[in-house]
Amino acid sequence: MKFANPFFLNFLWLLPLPLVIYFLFSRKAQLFRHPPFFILEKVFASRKRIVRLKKFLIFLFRILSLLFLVMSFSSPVIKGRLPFFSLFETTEHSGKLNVVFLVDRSYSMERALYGKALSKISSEMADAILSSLGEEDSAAMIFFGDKIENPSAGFTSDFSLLKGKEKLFIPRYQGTNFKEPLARAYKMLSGKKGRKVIFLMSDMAPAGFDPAGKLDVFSLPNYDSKVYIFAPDFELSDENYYIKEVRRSGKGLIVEVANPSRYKGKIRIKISGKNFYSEKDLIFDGENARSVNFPVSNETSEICGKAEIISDSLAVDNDYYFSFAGAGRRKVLIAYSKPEYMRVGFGGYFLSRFFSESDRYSCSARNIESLSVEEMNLHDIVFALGVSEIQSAKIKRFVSSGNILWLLPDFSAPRKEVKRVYESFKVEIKDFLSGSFVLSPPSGLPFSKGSEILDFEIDKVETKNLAVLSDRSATTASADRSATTASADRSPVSLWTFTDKRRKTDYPAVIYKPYKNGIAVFSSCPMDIDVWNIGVKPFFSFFITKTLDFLVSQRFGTGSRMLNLGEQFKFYRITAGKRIDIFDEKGNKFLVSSESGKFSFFPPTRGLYFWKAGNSKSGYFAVNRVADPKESRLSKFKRKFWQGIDPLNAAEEFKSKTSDVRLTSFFLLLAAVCFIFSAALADAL
Amino acid sequence: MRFIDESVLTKLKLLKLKSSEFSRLAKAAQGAHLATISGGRSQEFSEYKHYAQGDSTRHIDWKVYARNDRFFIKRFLQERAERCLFVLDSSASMLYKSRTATFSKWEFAARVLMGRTAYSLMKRDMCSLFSFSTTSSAVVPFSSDFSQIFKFDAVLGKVLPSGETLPLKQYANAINSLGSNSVLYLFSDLMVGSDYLERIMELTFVKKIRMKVFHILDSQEFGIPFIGDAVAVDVETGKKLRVFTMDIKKEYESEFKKWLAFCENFFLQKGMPYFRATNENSFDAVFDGYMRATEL
Repeated sequence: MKFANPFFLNFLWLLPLPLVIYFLFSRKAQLFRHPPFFILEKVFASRKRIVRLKKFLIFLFRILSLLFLVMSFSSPVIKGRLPFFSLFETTEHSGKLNVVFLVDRSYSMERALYGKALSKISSEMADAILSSLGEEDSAAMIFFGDKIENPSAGFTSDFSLLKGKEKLFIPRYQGTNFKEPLARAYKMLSGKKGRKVIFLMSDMAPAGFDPAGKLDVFSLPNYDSKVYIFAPDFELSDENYYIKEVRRSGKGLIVEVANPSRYKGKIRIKISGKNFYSEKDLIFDGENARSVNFPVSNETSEICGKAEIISDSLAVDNDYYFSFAGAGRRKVLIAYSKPEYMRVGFGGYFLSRFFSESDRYSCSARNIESLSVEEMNLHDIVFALGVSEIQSAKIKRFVSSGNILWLLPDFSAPRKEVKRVYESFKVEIKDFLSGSFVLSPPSGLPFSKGSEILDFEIDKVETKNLAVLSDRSATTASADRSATTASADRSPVSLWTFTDKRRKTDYPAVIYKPYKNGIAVFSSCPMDIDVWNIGVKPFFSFFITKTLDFLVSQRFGTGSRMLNLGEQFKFYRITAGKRIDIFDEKGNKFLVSSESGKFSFFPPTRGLYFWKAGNSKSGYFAVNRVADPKESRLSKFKRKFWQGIDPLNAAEEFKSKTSDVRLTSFFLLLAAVCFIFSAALADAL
Repeated sequence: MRFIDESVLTKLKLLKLKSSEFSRLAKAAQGAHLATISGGRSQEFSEYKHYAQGDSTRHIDWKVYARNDRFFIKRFLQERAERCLFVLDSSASMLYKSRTATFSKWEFAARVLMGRTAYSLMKRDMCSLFSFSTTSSAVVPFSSDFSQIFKFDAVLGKVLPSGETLPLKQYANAINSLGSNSVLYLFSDLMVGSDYLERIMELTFVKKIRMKVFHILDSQEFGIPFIGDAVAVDVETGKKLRVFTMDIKKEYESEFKKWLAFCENFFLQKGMPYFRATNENSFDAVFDGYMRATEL
């Protein structure tokens, strides 16, 4: 504390004056004879403590009254840290002021207040405060999200370098980490002279790095209690919804909306894309998440677009781009090594008849000898029948480029040959069996659930010859093991089984195995099944279609239609084309060149992208932020460690709070209060 | 006479006594005996009374029974005088007199005592005086002679109040000779605590003595006379107490009122007539009130 008129402090010797006066008066005490002395004594004994306390307080207040009076005349000047002192007169800045602006660039700063994004308001506040600083003052600006963006930032007195940086305020981070920038700011200020200020240009929503309220500012390195910490007073609710996921289910799209703060309320969901638009209300009653279904025509070959939450406080997580493969006809190619595989009673014939009757698949059959990989690439799925070891190299290239291959063994070929073909895919054939083996789906697979399968006579699908595929590395998929997980760890999964009823032994019927960028499926028998068996047909149909649906749903090759920002879009192409074209929603074109047949592309922003590889293939993929509640959970600090600044009056309030306050009238008021108290106690009023 | 004059006798006449009683008082003043109604054995008939259980059958008038077939008891006038002990507190506190008062508490009490004595002597009661404190005592033995009043006056004239109020030992000695037909007239400012007062009364109850209390106060004693820093002095012991009177003024007044209420209730609850007066009151009014409260 400093004094503007320190001369008056010399009058502090007047403080004992009340005591002196008291002792002077006490010598003039009147003597009086009083007969009821015993009553006087009794009353005095009961009142002794109160009377002493009262006397003490009277002296105290009289002395304090004098003290405050002297202080008032001395005009004390303090730093205006307490808002209460703003009631009193304020002096101008004295000394140098060092300000570190910590600019929060997390997505929560995209919220709007007074019709403007918080980031824009922060930018304007910073400009206004910088304009109010004097020539001697210095300032630095640090941008941060979940990390510091410019850790080497330093102080400058040329504030024009820091003004008008609105673009640098635009949010781009998914988390907010106050710890690092605050520690950095304290370090920067530690060697500075004059007053020190940290201005947190933030909505003070700390989600994404640390549970709210656990930031211990006082334990930060270089913490200095003399440093002011300011932040704007953004009066905003922490209510926020975000789209967690959009998925396709049957004839519709399911939009799942998360409500991390468990608010009760109604929001409107909009879904739009090529040839469709729909809006629906979703009512929350405190649930963590809710879903809404939007029916979409099944005829659409490919569904892509955007789902949006309309009018939510934090807009950045309100939209979600999606792209799903359509339910249109898939191209199936049956590649046989011998023409007899296509005759009646053989698997090729059965498959071609089955697909020709299907409205979901278009089928063609070719001898693998005359088939090129490029031609194979024009198809979605290739069934390879009786492939020789030499021919297997061709189908390996096909599956490596991100396609689906279904390999059927040829029991008429030498067993060693068949084994070698399977082993080249790292699938072992342990034995070849003969007998009666009945097909059944293993429990736990997605398509084995429900009662519909029980309606079929599953015992009718049987084979007499069987290759025992290795189940050493193959595992039976379980209900809690999702297809995505299965594809991620790339271990083989047994999709169906053949059961030897006599021996009560199960053997894998179909093994699914991610192979390089595609998927390979290995059958244990060549499917030489009688197609005219009416009892068998529906179940066999179920077996084929469900298995293919499952394979198509796996993420591989260009199947990664839904990417997160930061993930790579991969495209595998072995054909002549050396580049693919990618377009964003605004029509910006990105050319991607091949590197040994692999194409990769990092999408720069969220959105819906269109890709085109020559004239043969094209499609869409969607890019979103990671569906994570980090920045979407707008929690607040439990303990406020900063002083609030009104965003509408930032410069003036900043100046007021960093200026000195002269407390003349404050101490005068205190002196008056103490005098009134002492007078009241002495019953002199 | 210092403490009584003709006006006291005039006052006695003004007391609304029956004419016959007053004539007896006048006779008594001339030396005649004064008879009182009692169930004694005097031969002078007084009245008939219905027989009640517990009455002695010796006094049944059988002639009346023969005529009326009812039992009546004959009652007679008994010639019997009361023994009245007049106790005057002569402690230093009784000497207190504020500026507005004509007499000190002691002098005022002595005058009332003398008037009451005159009345008793007129009734041919035996009267005795005991004026005492811790430092002084003066005694006039029992006598029913009217000249007793002059002895009282002479003795009181020599008393100089000092010391503390109602020392227990002297009080016990004074009431030792009293019988059950005795009356103790106490004249005091009762400047003692409640505990002490109870101990005094205990001695009196043991002897089954009737007591009539005249409580004299000075109006200044009801409060503290001024505001300021002061040293209060106990007039009896000389003890001193430094006080800022403003701090305790209200509490003192409240406590004093409580003490007065205690004294009044204390005596009245025990069936003892109690009369309180201040030395600033008119003597006539006080004497009038006292006689009404204690005698008539």
